[in-house]
Amino acid sequence: MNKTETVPVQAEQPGTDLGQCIQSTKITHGLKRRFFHPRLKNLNKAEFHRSATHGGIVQRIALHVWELYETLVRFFQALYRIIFPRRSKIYGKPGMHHVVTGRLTFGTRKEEADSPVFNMHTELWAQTIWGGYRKLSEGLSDRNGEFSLAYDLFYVHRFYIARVWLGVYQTGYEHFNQKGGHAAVLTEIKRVKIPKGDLVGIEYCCRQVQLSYWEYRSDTPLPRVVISDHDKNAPDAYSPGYNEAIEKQFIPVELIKLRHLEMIRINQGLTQQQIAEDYPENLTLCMEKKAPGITREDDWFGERMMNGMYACDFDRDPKNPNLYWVHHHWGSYEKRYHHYAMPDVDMWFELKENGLPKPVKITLTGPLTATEKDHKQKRSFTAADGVKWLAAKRICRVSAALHAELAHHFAGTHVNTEQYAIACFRNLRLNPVSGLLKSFLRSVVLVNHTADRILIGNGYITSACALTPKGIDQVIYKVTGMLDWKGYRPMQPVSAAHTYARACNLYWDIVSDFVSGYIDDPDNRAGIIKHWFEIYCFSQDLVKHSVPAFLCHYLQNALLDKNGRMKTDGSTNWYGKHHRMDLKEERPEADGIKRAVSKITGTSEGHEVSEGDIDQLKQACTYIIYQATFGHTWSNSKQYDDIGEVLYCSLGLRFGKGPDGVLGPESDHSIAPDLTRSTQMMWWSNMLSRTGYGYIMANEDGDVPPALQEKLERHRQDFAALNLDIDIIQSRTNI
Amino acid sequence: MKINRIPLLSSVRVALSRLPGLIFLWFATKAFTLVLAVAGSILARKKMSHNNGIAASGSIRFVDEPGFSLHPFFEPGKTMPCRVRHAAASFMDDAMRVVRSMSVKMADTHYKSPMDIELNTGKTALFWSVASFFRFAKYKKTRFGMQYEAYYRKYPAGVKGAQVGMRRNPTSFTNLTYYSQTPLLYKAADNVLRYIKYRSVPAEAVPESGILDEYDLMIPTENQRILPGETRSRNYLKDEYVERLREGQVKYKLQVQLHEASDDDDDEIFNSCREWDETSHPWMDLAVITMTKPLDWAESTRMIFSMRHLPVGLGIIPSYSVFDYNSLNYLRKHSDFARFARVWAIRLFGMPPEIPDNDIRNS
Repeated sequence: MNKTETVPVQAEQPGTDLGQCIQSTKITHGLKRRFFHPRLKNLNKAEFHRSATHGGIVQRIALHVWELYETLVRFFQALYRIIFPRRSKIYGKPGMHHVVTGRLTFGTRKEEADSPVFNMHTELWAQTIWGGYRKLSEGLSDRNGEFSLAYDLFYVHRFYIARVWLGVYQTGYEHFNQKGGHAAVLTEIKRVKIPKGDLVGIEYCCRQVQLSYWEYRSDTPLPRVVISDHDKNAPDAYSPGYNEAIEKQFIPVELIKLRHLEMIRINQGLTQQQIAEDYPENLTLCMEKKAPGITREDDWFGERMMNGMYACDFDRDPKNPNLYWVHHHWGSYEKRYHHYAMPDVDMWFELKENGLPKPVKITLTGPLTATEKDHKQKRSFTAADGVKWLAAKRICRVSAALHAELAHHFAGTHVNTEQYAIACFRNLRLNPVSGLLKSFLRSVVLVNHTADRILIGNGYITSACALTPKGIDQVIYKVTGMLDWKGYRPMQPVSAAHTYARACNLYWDIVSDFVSGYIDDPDNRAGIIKHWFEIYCFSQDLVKHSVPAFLCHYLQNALLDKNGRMKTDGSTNWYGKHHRMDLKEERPEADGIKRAVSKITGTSEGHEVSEGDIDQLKQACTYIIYQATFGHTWSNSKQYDDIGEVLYCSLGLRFGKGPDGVLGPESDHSIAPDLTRSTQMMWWSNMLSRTGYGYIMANEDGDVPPALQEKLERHRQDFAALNLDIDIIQSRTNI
Repeated sequence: MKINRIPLLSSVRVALSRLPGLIFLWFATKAFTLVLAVAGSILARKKMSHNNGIAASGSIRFVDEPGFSLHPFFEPGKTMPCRVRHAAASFMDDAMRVVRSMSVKMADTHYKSPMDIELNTGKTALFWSVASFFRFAKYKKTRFGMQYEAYYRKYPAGVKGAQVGMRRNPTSFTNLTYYSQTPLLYKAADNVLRYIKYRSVPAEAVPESGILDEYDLMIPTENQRILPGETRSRNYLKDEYVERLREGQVKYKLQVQLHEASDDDDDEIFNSCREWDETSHPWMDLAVITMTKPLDWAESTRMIFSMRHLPVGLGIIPSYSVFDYNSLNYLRKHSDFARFARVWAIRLFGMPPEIPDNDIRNS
């Protein structure tokens, strides 16, 4: 079907119950701060037990005073910048014979000490005895990381020059102003003080200047960045607007959780029902009020599996092409079976006349009660199984939610985007692609750093499901091993009602068009060719630090021939190939290991660049922007709809105390997460979906290219027809 | 009609702008000289460097046909009494990796002479102005045969100067080439302003010894220690020089390089860390120095070489600040007080002891 064809989905039109519920539970972000409000410094202070907020009366007053103080400081800083501006003018008459030199490298003495930082902006500054700033010189590091800044020796030694320093500047995202201009934001990341007396002419050498700058972590096989202290030396920083917005939106949710935790602590009779009532009403609760039982029906189940947060991969069943098959595999990952059930899940669907799927069979593999030990035991259920069919669907929802959370959301967008963010910020500075990508790659490493603590590892997920921290790492590692930009296209719609896939494709086409326009712009193209070496290093870093390519045994046997390439005999037509790793391509190798991410170019020099290289660059950029924006938005914003009611769906189910174990009825609360995890679950889904900042259309920080906004705006109605409001598409992965 | 006036105001303005630098240079020089006189010359009875030396006497004869416009002092065929003092910089151990020097005095006296020339091994120097020399002194920090570590870390030109200037175990003082490195004035009889650099080479072409090889260049520049298992004595080079003079004469050729000044000359021609292109500035013979008699330790130590001993027209180039390349010679010229102080201290407190042939190395 035509990927941009718009077919209205009647069920979600405004007049219907669903339409009303979508409207009434729509998230708004216009909360106002009250005079004395609890405070959250930034997202990194959030904890799933008790966040570092300050809510006591004394604390609130103190914080209010502190805030006034901070406002004053900001005012004086602004005033200082006006009185002592940092002009771009070069003072003195720099001659070529007196220079400050040095060499910029990544890392510490032990790690990456010989890895040069090229095209890095460096400036030589002086401060006068009355506080004024004087720029003495500026320049860039060369391919070896070496820089040479010519300065005026006699100007430096004027009596009123008090201090001299070398500043190294990170090239950040592009800022687009209202007049249509744009410029990269330069941030000082390193300052090397130079004693004024040491500047005696000819050459003063700062030697090797090591930059703890977008370093790769060595304690994980994933391409992750080093952040030793989130608030002090992280390579990125949230914008002030982000922190303020998150604080405003997060505090009410945090207060509910804190109240619940306190009620649990003093055994004050908190119930699942009260938890559900205390948090804002979500889609399923709203629908249940209007049409009781609707959210547990097969139609709802199929629709949410296809177009909800879960957005499952609908492959045709290899044995029965009339059915669609969804599989969630958990058996290979490390788990604890003390409390939580976690069977492998196979779901089969048939398409209804309206194009939406209807479940026909579910097979669960693994223990369903606490006493079972056989991890291979299979049990199948159909609608004829009545109550157990309902329970099986609930297990499927939980499995799909966890899969969406870990595979689609965290691995597929957060970790996936981080690997591109690191390589991008490490290597792209002068190349126009820097301006194209960096706006979309902001903040992801910060939020991932927080997620390491509160979501994965010993965070919430391991406390709320059977997966151990190691098991979670295994999931992320293997999922990341299947992600590659090359040949990627969004999932192909299986029917006109597959609005998720259609929205994906529509958005992809818009981004692809935007990227092509940007790269084909004559000025940008010239810059890209001129600074192609940056693209080459970007590509090299991506491949070198990418995780090993992964394909499970089942797919290896089903899809690959003896040479390890995709079979061409038609036996693999059941498998949806577009949005998955291209198995026809040879995987790139680094350190003797076949890697998941393909190289963008093998050419380091601009004059050797072919149209093929440019096409690959376009593909890669489209993929990166797509994943960082739409890909993340979908899996993140829908959490509120699909895991915003604990009894409907959570991230884990306990075996329960009944004879049927996890197959017991919803009314058996020993199966659902306990009260602590339930309120934490609600806190999670609300925090992730109901807090937000950095939207493409709102463009709060002025960092979204207007061309992308214009293109999206032109398709506003097309997206609306697919039940997607373009105003909720985030411009970066920051929550 | 256009009136041609001398731009008096501009001249005054330039003079005034130079004045602070000049005053600072004068004060810096005097202060340094005073500190050096008290701490080095009087209390330790030592030169700032180049204490480890040996002198000889003989004569100098200017060449008959020099091939360039001559200053009246360099009268063709003129012969004058002469002394030469060879030394090693900083350390009292000939087997260490150090810069060697040759100082020429065109008289057979301790001090007074019509012309003194100070030369060092290496085409370029380790410092290039008074300011850089003060940094050089500040970052000396000698310890177990290592020194100037911080200086070399900050100033690559110093490293280059050290690498081309240091000599490891040369076989003789007489087969080394010594350079003045800093240019001086040269106003010949034709009254054309030129700048001059001097060098001394062996009278007969012999390979220069002691130039740092690949192994030595890999050793950090600040490490001037003797090589492990070194068997040469602390005085082997001085002993060899004395022995050589006992056996016969030692001859050197004094050569010059001239640069004709022009209005658009870059200041870099005064930079002691840069060579003059030998194609456009060929070395030309000026004189032959013949040494016949070694002088003892006391006589060698008592000698003073001064930049004040330069004939009119062959003096130092004016300088106006501590950052000026020519300020190095200004400092040399204005630090005689420290040299005199050392000689007076020797008279008062006695001659410092000769360097013993013992096993105390790297000092």
